[in-house]
Amino acid sequence: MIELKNVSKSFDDKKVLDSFSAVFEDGMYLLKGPSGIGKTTCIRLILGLLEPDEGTVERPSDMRFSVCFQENRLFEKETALTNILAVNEGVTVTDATSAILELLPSDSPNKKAGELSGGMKRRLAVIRAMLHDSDCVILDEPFTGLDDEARAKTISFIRARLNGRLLIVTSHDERGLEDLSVVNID
Amino acid sequence: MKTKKYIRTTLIVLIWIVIWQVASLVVNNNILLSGPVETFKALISLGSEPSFYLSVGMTAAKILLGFIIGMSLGVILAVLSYKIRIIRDFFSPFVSVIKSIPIVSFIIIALIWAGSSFVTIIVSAIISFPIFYKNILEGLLVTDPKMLELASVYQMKPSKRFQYIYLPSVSSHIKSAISLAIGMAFRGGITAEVVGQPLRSIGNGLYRSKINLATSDMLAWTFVAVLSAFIIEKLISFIVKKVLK
Repeated sequence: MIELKNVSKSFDDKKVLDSFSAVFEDGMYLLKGPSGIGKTTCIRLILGLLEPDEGTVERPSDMRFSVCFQENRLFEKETALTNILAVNEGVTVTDATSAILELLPSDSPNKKAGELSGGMKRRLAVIRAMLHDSDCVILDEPFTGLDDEARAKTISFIRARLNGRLLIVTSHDERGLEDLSVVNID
Repeated sequence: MKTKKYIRTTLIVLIWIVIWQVASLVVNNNILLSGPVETFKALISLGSEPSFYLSVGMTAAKILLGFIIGMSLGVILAVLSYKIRIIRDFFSPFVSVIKSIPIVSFIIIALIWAGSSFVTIIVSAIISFPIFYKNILEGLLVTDPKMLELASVYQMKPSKRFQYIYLPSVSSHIKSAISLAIGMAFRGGITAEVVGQPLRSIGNGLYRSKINLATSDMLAWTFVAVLSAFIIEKLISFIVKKVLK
């Protein structure tokens, strides 16, 4: 369980989060709110990449995360396959290849990440996060740049690979995510 | 495309050789300026003596050893400086000072401390060290913080972080450091030999050319020095390219 209690965070005197509270227990959550409201800041606080100015973020100290950041953060000069294996020690080449082939064209595993299109890179970042052995999966705007068909396939992939882990997704578009518990940031 | 480039480069070199030959004919004094023909003859004459190859080999080996020592020290201290702020604060002014000290001061100190046999190694190491330190540290400091965040969240092993995050960030800095340092090490190392006079060395050959007013020999030795630096730089760059791949 992750709990944010009265969390506030400012950047250069601009308050991004103001006394925000939320509880993420087991299950799937959609972190919702207009652009620039502080969804990414909230995620960075959960991950421990930022410290709150006020309030507390409570989570088990040994909690392991997999993340699809707002930017893809891929190793651009490495192949799609290497991008998965470099951060996933326990994943075999066969598993990584079949996961890539579920969402990307057949020539993708050995293509360099830098040569993939924007939407393909996004899906690769999602695959990398889903294959990582973790307790909590965080996906920050994972469907950016995906058309409806790719989006639907990616959602199915996420659901199939979640294996009961805690999921926190941020997205402007709720389509296909209606069954997720909504946490509003406003 | 590559063939065209080679032809162009060869033509440019030939034009410069012709200009050199014309200049030497105009000056018409072998001591003031030997032409390419005389220099080539001197090179053939030097090449007929076995001691010539020993001199070139000894100088190249000593400079290469000094370069490797300087490179190793530079890389190790750059990594430590990146990881530990106090080490960076401690070494950065020291490295800046080393860079601005005239090389001849180091040559004299090295001669006093270690004698002429080691002067080439010490001077090459002192020249190479700050170049590697500065370049590697700069490369590490510009490593993408977002990728380091990714590595931290995904708990990447240090070896994987090195391979996929740090190495791509420092590789261009390593390449430019090698190219700069090897040339400088050769210049400094041979200068040290001219001052220190170790037996069987390019610097000694240059010194003897000077006292005998044998300009063509001096140019021949210079040509050998430039060629040795070029070959070693290409060799090291080739090895580094293979390793970085």
